[in-house]
Amino acid sequence: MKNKNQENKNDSRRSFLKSSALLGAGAIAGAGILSSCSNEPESSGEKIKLLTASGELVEVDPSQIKKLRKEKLSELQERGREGLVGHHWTMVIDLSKCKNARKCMAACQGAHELLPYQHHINVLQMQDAKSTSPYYMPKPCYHCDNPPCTKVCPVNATFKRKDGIVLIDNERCIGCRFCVAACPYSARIFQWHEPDYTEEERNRIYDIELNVPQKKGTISKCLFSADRLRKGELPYCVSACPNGVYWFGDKLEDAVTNGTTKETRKFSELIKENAGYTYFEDLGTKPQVYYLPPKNRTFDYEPKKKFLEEGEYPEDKG
Amino acid sequence: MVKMNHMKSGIFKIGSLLAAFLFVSFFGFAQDFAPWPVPDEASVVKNPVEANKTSLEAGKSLYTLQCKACHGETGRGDGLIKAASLVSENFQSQTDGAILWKLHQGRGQMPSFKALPDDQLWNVINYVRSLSKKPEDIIMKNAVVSLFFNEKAEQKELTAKVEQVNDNGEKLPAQGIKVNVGVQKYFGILPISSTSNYTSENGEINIVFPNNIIGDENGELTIIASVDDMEFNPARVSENISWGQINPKDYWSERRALWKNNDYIPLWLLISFTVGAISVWLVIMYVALLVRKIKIEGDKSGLSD
Repeated sequence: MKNKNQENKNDSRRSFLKSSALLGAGAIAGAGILSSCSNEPESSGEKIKLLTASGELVEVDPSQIKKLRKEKLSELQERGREGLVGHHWTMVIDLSKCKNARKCMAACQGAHELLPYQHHINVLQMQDAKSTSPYYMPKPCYHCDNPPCTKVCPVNATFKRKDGIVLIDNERCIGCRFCVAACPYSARIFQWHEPDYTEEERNRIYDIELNVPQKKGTISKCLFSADRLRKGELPYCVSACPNGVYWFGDKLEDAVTNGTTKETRKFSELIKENAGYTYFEDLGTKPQVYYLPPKNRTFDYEPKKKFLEEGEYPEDKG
Repeated sequence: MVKMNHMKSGIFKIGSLLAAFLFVSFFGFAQDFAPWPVPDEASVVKNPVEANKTSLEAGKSLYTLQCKACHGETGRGDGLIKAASLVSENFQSQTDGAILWKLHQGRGQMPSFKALPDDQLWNVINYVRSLSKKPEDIIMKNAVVSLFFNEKAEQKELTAKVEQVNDNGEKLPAQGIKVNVGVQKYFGILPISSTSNYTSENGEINIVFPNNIIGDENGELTIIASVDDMEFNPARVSENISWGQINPKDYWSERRALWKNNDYIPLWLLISFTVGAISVWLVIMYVALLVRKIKIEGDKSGLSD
């Protein structure tokens, strides 16, 4: 009885060891097959049928095929990850000027090919307390200097560049939405649906600095218009504002430029004079978007929604 | 740009053509703004500021800051949003007093400028009046501007000199010319001169250079001086000088932080992860060793098959 038991145990151990050895060998063989698949095809007599952009069916030698798209993509990704070294982009939003014109949102959605309900920047109606005056607050991504979102990404898809911009690489993103949960500002959106693209539009080379084309099952977020900054232009939202709400510039240079008036001022002076602040400062995220308080407003507040009066409770409104 | 379905595209095309036609007809033939009646007592207010060069120039700089974004550079209402044309017959036919009243009131997208002093608003009104006049009869003069740097103990001084160039190439110092001096930044020029910088009788302006301007990694700055005068063609000069503070450009690219990816993660994380991973593998290897030992022991005792 005892012997048999031991025998059985020995058996199971042996079979376990055998199977694990098999598994290991299988894994190595699999990796070998995979790596041989990714090799460039060598010149041979075979022809490959291809559909050109103009819709013609052509036959070409496999050796003639160059993976153009992948090369350009990796180039863009590399450039996008590095950023514009030597700058530290920052935005100042003057709440006293915002009139809810929503031109910033339209410009942003146009550039990043978002649907009307998707926002990289959103203008919110705010009221800090029942007795205080309501105001409009544009809310982009704050491009924090201590971003919680990049820490939780399991696949290195979202990252902070050397110029301070927090970007997302949709070629890497697996859609786990950890970053959405980590962001205290709700700055990130998830693409639940396949965007309504034509085949041609969908097959464009993915530009990491524009996050276009959008892809189902990935994250999209404000990019501080990294593609425009590379060209020396102000971001889409900043230059679309008709009311002079946005200032944008390089914190290291200590200069910000207004998108509407194109006036340039010292960043430190502007913040000091107007008692600038950042949102949820106490979280330690070090946001790089500053707000100037809504005092001496150029517009009267015209609410789209009614705010609660003193002594009124949400239930009262029905 | 989210495209319509192919099936709908025909209808869409016709629709957009129709929309375009309506758009053109609306803007071409009809003024899209509701009348804005002005009370009589406001209309009769007289403009106390004479439309001289000083007033027009002050008006222009305020117009550039506050009005240009919507009403456009030339006042045709072709700015970022749809705005009234300031050169139209309709607009120019009202009195200065009426325009001032409208500037005070504001309507819709147009904000109220009550916060600005009236004399500044009169300057803007003078400038807006000048927009509709065709400046064909004015022959623009030519000028050259040059920069001189003077570093005394503790104080840096900058001199911009404007000289008028006559037809025969003669250069004469130009007096009373507005000169803007600034430092080139990534998106624009940071002014270091005050808004009213007019040249003295020898055609010069002197500016004490502030010490707190940040340059590049060597403290180098690009200083730009430009002539901003209605009677002169635009002229500008740019010079590099290391008068700025050192820009700590790559101050964080090599710094380790938790939010960084792979290459620059903090040392404590790198060490604790490496130690953890190594110890897990050591345990696994130890267990494998024990398993092997058991097998050898079993073989020795001859209990296995």
